[in-house]
Amino acid sequence: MVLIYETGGILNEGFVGQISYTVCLDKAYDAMDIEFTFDKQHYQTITEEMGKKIRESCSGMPEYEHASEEELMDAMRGMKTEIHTIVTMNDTFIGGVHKQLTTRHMVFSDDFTSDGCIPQERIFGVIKVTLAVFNVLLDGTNYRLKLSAGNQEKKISPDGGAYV
Amino acid sequence: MYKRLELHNHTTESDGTLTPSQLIQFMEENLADGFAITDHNTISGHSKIKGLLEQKKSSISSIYGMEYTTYYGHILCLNLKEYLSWESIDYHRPERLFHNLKEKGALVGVAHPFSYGHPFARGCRFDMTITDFNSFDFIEVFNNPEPLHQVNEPALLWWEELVLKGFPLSATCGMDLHGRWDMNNQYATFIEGVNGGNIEKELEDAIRHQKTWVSRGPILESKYDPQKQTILFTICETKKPGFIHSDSDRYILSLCCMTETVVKEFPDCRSLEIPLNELYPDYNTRSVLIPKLYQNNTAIENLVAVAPVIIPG
Repeated sequence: MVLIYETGGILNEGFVGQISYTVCLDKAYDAMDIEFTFDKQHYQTITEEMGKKIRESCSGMPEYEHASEEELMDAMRGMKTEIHTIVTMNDTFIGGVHKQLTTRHMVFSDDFTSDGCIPQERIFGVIKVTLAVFNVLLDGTNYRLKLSAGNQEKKISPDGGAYV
Repeated sequence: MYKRLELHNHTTESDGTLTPSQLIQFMEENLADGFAITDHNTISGHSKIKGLLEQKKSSISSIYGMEYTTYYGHILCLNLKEYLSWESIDYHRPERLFHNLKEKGALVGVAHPFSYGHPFARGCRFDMTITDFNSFDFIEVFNNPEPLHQVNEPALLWWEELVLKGFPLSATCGMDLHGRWDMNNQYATFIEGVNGGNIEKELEDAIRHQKTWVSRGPILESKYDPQKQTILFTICETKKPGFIHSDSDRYILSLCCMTETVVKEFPDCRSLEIPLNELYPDYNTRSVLIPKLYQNNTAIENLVAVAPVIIPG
């Protein structure tokens, strides 16, 4: 596998929307690995101020606004930054990962794909990777994206399916 | 025959814990006639399920779909032949996506519309503004794991309100299955079909003609007799396992129309014929009827089944 593109960025709290990266491959490959990582998935600490802010955003929602402090804290501990990854090749959908792994691989080949991805005999043309950001809990949430492709002998790594 | 369908299921292709193969096995063990694969924002499980079913020569039918998981609500899509992009969904006009999906032959529904959403689970509640209620096909009135009063009851009431106004929406339900969950006494969707029939076609016919049943077990059949001007209601058992009912439980029929709700107790024979003039004192104002079956009383906890709406001729 050869690294073809690597990028990253910083997300701010409350962002909702897409960030897309388009890569024009130089030639056809028989395998591709897209690795996506992000941090700060959960609140590390929950301050009084954060609780107050959430409480305010629940105003007018009968199912939340009468929640006890404990219920609210529990709910906040369960909250997460949520990012989906969607991949198209030449404008055709070839995979989407909903599972909220902070490190995820989207591996495509003819005989192996990661969960959520569709096997491809050849990887060629224009690859578009979209980060669909549903929720960002904290300012300064870092993410990295790497796209690698190759024609080498296939072997699945033990940590989640990347080609090595 | 009636076919029991489980219409909302996830696999390891998104965030479920059952592989496509395990999902098939689980549905077979639970005696479902058919099931849908509705992973979040991917159709990667479709070919796997197809391949496995061909290999196994299984008699269980599969329906290919997806749960469009958007920032503002979940859209359950069945008979989906190809992935259509959702990211440009318009909060104020979801009909654009509904239309595009329907144009490709898919059946489009709103999943768990009153689920808890922002700020704790963005997208789980359906927050989009729908102005054209003819633009989609069904509402998931029971998402079994969701709380009854806070989530499912409002969904059922919303569907009732819309169909009483004349919108051609079907009711469906599902397990929103993410693992090997207990399906006993939970609601399932039933449709009419024939042995070996094309499940996609049967589902399409059922949903497009508002001929879906939602039930924990028995089916509430209704037959309008234009000669006698009566409707005959009959309770039919199904093979769905786990329905909790004892012989001492009385079956109650509720018929809801625009102006009132009529409640009657079923006799032991489980058949009940009701003259239309009992339901509509004024012949000229016949509206849609929603038949529902309860046990003992009409509290939502005791709701057994929702039957297709009746539109007396």
